Amino acid sequence: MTALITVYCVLAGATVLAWAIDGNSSNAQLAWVVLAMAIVKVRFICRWFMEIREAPRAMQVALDAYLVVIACVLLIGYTAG
Amino acid sequence: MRNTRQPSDVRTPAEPGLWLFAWGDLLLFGFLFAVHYGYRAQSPEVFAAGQAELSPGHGVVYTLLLLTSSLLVAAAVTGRRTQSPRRGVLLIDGAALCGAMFAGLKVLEYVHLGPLASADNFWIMYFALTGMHLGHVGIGLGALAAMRNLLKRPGLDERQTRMLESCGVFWHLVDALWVILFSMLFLTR
Repeated sequence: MTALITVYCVLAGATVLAWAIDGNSSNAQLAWVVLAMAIVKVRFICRWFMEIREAPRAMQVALDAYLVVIACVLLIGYTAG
Repeated sequence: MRNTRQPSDVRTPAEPGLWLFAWGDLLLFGFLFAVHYGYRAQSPEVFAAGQAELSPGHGVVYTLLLLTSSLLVAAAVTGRRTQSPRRGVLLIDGAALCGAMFAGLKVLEYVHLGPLASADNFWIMYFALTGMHLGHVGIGLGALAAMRNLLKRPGLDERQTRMLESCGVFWHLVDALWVILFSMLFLTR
């Protein structure tokens, strides 16, 4: 339970931090940081809340591969616009 | 570095069929994210104007509601062996309350933004992405009701445990997808 609360605090803190640094900005570098933070947050949710950290290695690798692809979509997509 | 995982530590939570659905969902949303950015690249000024109408503060509230509900669901699932049925039910009730508040606020937002729904590509993508997500929230609330019924029972067999975990995984999937949508739509202008 302590680990779950710690993860929750990290996720909530990252959400507020992302808002604070990028809420009203159009700075591309900050946007990259915010999108990267979102990917890391999703990894935390999958590993700790969905318990993928206990799943077979292949599933963990598949999740990380998916997140790399999504990170590319977000970062390249944002930059292209 | 030595691998400290023992074979007995390795287990796949939830039903295999649920994972098949979850991966399909992740791929579908990944495709929609690419479509969103494809349209954004065609008309960045339209997307900038649309995003300016959205309140990042509201996005933070939506995100915190779903993160809180996810924490409560994870606590109910991981503590199922040690906690009383009453505590498990209370945790799920709290999660459902957060989920229902998210859905209610989203509906209010739709009422407010509804006239813009077909105004341009930004709003078409906004309503498509968040509408699909809201549909998932609705299904997730049904999953939470199923979890509540399971947790009322004093002991769960293997099949019921997997069902409980499947419902939990689905709810966390809803949360994870929102985290990306929040950053794409409400932030990063």
